[in-house]
Amino acid sequence: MQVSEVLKVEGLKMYYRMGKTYVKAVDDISFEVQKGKCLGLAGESGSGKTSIAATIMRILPKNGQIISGNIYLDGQDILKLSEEEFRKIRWVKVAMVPQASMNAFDPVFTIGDQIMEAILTHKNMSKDEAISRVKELFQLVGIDPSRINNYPHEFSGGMKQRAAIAMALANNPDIIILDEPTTALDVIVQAQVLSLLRNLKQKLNISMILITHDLSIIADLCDSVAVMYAGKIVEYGDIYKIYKNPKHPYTQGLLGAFPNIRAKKQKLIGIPGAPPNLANPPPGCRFHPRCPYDFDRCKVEEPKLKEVEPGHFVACHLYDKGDQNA
Amino acid sequence: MIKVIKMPEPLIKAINVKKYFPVRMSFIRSLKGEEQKWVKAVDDISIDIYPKEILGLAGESGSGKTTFGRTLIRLIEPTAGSVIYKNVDIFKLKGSELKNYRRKLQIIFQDPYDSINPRLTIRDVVAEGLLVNKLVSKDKVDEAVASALEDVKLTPPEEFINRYPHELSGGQRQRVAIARALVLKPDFIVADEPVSMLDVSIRAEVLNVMLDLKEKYGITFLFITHDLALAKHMSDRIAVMYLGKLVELADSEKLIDNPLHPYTQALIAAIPIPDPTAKKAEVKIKGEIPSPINPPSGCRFHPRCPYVFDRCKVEEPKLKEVEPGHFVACHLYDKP
Repeated sequence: MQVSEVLKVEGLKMYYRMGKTYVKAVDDISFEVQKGKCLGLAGESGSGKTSIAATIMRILPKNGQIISGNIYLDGQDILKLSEEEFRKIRWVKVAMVPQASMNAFDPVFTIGDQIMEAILTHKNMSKDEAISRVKELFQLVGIDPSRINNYPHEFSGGMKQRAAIAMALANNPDIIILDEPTTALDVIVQAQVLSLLRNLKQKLNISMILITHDLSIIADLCDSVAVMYAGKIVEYGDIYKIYKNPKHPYTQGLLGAFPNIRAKKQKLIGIPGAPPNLANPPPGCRFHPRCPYDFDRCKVEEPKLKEVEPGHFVACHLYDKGDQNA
Repeated sequence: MIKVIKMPEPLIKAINVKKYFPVRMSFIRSLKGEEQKWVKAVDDISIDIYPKEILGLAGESGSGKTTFGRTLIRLIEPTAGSVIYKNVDIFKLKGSELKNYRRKLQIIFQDPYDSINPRLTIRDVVAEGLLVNKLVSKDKVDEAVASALEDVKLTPPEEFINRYPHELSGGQRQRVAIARALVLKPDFIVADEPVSMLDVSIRAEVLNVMLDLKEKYGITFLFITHDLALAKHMSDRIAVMYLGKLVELADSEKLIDNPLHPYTQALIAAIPIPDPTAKKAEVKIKGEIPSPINPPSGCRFHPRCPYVFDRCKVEEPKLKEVEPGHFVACHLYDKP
């Protein structure tokens, strides 16, 4: 079987204009997501994860400018589409569960009506057909279809999150982007939602991008991971390789900052300092002021993403002796 | 009652602490003589906290952990019960006497962006308690502030003392909040989810500061968290709450390695592991935490429990010591 990428992002740069300066939120990002696979976008607040999602979905604020790059969805460069053309694709081919979307349901309409609206806007079908589609979706995400006429306040947090996922799935998209889908949920409900997402991925063979700061959630669900720092991808590739053998000092730091419940107690090692201001990021490697291994070259030359083993890419001068590929 | 063998005198002894909040009722309904409803946020909790320990208090949102933490230091007035600190029931104290005790019982709040006055410099934030309590003379204030800042690793202190909160990162702010508690030389600090608002990479420095302070000054902590992995990392013992009740209490390693209560077992099983080769969590329990206004009868966990039997539906289990130092409130371990 041939693997095909559903989504391919190449050299994407998206800056926010702030007066006379630019905040380089997405700075030369490339990645791809294959059919039925899940890519985790990991990183701390302000690293640019959500800005990537907003760029793909074309829901950028007014000051967000795409400087360069290509985004191919099923082989088609969606950045070349007009607004009108893209509207036919949004929510049909690519859908999103935005952060805190469980609280974005309109309180005066039933959940069923709101999901139906998402279907009828894009598909030519009768109301009865739409209702049975919503019931089907409810079943798919584990909500009793009899609750189609409930209002948002009658749903618990976990059910609202399931409903938000159902809404994203309404038009059978090829890929869905999930932005912090479990952040506001308690740990048991989080585990329920994660197991739902695992099942959906398998059953529908759908591609996913999972945005989160929590590396353990990515380990739970994803096939590949892109670790972001200050608008850049610093490490990218197969999840097993990266978790087994994290190369970038930032990835190592992030993994070391999580206490593992199954391991012996050991001192947590944080990363000193704080993420930089993206209006004026540090020269060279953006991580160098916080890096325990930084040397002269890091301060002046920006490291490129290079393959250190098959399917494992790192942007760090430590693994880039001279100019040769390792 | 909790009995503990070969343990020192507890620093804080909570006895049958209850906190019920009234549910607001419309005027019409009260005229109709409808019964007042209560949210039983903390319902009859007794626990001993020992000097120089970090007691982790874990549970989901709505389990009552924050209310219990705040009631312990009387930031919230209790409905019933007592808290004994140094042979005094702090719930009975009044006026200046209470003020003296407040100094010894401090709190660090969850959100360092909310809990620090943005108009004050770091010096004023940290010094406020010192001045209110007249602990040092005015000319010694800077010295005391600087030494507290040093203790929380905001060094060199002179670089921070004149800055405003907005100039600091979340982790640095949270350490200012710790310094603010620390200058008062407290015996006991309630740390309410102190790192849940912080980015992962800066959590460790806040946590490490707390561990250092425990070692250096022998401060006792109640560490409130929803994250059991974090509770295990920080605490000597862990108490688990569910719907206003204490369901399990044990040494932290013991509680994580050998959880007895089905709820604790479910909580631990639900935690994702930062390792893609680990077995995926299987969720045995269904549904979500019910409303504390009208909690289930008998054992409050019984509607979600995979091992429920008849007795659970009618009789509330008591917290019992089933192994030395390991307490659980579950009928499975209470063969009559």
